[in-house]
Amino acid sequence: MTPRPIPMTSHVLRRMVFFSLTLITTLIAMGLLISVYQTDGISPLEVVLLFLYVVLFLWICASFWTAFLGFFVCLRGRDRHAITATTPATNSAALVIEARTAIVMPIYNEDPQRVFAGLKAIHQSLRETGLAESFDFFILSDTRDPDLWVEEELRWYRLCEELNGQGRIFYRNRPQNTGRKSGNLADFCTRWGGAYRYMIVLDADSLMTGPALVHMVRMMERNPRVALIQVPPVPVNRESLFARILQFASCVYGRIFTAGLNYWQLGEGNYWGHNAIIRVQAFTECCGLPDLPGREPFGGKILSHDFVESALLRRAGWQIWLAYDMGGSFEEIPPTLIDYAKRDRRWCQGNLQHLRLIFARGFHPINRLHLLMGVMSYLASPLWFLFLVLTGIEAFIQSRGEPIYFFGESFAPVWPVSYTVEMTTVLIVTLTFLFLPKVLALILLLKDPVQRRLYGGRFRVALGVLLESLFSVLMAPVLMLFQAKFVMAILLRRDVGWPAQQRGDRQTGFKEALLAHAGQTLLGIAVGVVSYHFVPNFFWWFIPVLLGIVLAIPVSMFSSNVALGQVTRRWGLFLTPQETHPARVLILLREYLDQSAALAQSGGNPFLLTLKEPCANALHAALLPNQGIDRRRRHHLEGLIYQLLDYGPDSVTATEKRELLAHRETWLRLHLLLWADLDNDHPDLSVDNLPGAAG
Amino acid sequence: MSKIFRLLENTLETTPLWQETCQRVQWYWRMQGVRDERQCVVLSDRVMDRLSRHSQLITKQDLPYRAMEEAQRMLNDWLSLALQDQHPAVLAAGRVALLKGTVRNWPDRFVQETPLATADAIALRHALIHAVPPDATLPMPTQVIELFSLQRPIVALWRGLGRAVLALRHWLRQSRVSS
Repeated sequence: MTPRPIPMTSHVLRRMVFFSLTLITTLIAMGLLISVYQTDGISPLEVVLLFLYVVLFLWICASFWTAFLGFFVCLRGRDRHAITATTPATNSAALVIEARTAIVMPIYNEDPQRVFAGLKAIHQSLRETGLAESFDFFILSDTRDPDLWVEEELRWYRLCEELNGQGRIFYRNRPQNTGRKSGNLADFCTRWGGAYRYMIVLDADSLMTGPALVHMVRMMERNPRVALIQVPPVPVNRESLFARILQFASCVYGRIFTAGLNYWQLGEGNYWGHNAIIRVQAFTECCGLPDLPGREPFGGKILSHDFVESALLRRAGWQIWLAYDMGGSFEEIPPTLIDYAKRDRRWCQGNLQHLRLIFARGFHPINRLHLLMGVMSYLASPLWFLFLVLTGIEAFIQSRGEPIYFFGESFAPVWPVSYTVEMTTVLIVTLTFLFLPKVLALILLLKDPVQRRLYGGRFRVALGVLLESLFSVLMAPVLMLFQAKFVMAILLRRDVGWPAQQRGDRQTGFKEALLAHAGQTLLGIAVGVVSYHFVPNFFWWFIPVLLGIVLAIPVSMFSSNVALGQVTRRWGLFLTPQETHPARVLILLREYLDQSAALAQSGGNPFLLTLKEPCANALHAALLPNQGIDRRRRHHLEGLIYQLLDYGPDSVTATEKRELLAHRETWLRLHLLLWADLDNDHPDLSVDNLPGAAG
Repeated sequence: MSKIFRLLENTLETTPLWQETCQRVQWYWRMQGVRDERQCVVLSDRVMDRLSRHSQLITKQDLPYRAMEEAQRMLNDWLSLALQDQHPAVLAAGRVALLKGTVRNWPDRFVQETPLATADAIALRHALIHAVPPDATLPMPTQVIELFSLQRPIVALWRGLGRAVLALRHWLRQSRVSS
């Protein structure tokens, strides 16, 4: 039986509460600032400052009231309109799932060891529910790196062997990665989507427990008007200090934010790109993404596809829900500040592209708001930067002004009115709105003895929140400068040259930190000197911002330290429930990663192994799609074959290796030529060093 | 003429390269999963024998490659009987299945040049890797997203103004006529 639809009054009431609170508090803050500025008439600079403040405060306000409402939802214990309320979680395998579900993992040059260990852990967790038969796994590879490509194939085959997964665990590598991730998913939907009612989209670093996967399917089955359910992923598994602090923050504060989001968005939720279940039929009908007119950065392919897909689904009348209270959904985050910034760089362009879509015809107002929030999450940084610069200029102008005590023929002096109270109020309100959600989340946590224990106890969790707040004060200006730089680079169509993202734990070296933060440090010092010289009063107010920027290099290096992260863990600081009481899927992942690390050490180079070893070679040949080639290309490949044979594998580029790998006939010929080369003593190409060689 | 061929053949067969190639082929068979040394020798001799039949067409440089090619062709020909398919991808998948030990003692059959038993052939066909499932296509039409453009309201305004002017003119004319 389908659950009763949520009454319209609930929609209206909840949104009225949220938007009224946001608008009223913004208007009050604006009023306070106007009263400060209007002492001697509002200058054009002050109008700009006022505008910037209102925009930024509105943004902070929306975030604050979301958390505030979420706090009350969590305090009550449940939201009666939550999607999870429609379908109770049950582990009973007796409730058969008729619908077939594909668990799809689009990957692009990811670490195969982590990808396949993660899949194995998810598979095992699913198997333990007794309902694994209803699910198929798809590794949708867009990997371009030839070494990683063949390693993925070998690991896929091994996984199938280990889990007896032939016919249920599938792998394909696309010849062309058109449309990136959204193109990859579209390719899945158009080729195999007809066989599945649902697909659960995972990222390369995603993890979901078996019970969570089953629960998602059941919720979809029970709610036929729902096209997508997003389960918020909790960050786990990183050990550097930076990542541990982020994991802690996300675990402690994330809950009230997601509960608050669900409170006002209800069935007009958003899609975050992974850890979500999607109704395939609805997705294929509504989510074929067009190219945007014009050229990059605002035209061309839609880069951040998820927000747009949810808007398109909603436009067609489907519901999208956030299962904020479900659990069992995890992801891994970048280990260092620099890697975090690199990820931001990738997301920034996609989110800015949404500027054009905010007013697209037919989108639901809440979807427009999501698009705007996505844009603002990056645009806020250059706006803050501008606001701070203009505030400094305004302070300088104010400091130069001489007070006038006598107007006209009046004998009585007119004393300048002090607006310190109003200005301090504005500042306190802003800081409160920034930091109060952290306090609310802490109160909620301290109230629950079980949760308290999972976070290391009352004292440690409170200390953790305090230290995290100090750390976020240091980080915020650095991230602001990074994001401002990315936004400017995108607007100026310049490449800021960030390499691929690093997912595993690693430490930032001095050189790397210097290259990434030197400009910021110099800027911080310069601004500090100038403001101290010209506006000393402003300088002292500015110290919290300057401190983070000036200390960016040591803080970046220090926070990337894994040993330090482990020490804080031993001390019981920044503990998360997944560290103190990990989910089964996380334990399995650790176990499988250890196993596959041992295998990886004994395996050698996968490209060379596939080139020389007959079984690996045949496996690759069997997995290639049929491709015809013209004579010109055949000659080109023939040239590459002899280049590789004569000058070794290092003489061909990664792209050329991929070309050789991509054509079956060429690949088989290269294999035979290598075996036929009796005099080849190249250490990489000689077949004499194959395991089991006795010739 | 045949004397010349014979002579050429003998020349190639007596070279150390012939022996080296023979050993390399034996090794290749071992890597293909033929564990018995004697079977490796038999199979490599068979490969070399096939080559010697048209050795007049083989240059010294070509010999090892031709031998490897012949070895693979031999295996593929035999496999295609069991798989009832000659597609290179299917044959490659068949080789993977053989190497993973799907059919025990397959080298015995292969050496004897007898096809696989029906049950074994079926098992082999079942063991073929399928990296992707059969196609189950769905159409995914490209959606239309009408972006906001200032042009639309300006055109609407222009048209509205035009209509208003026409209406005004019409009203003025009417009022003139009536007066």
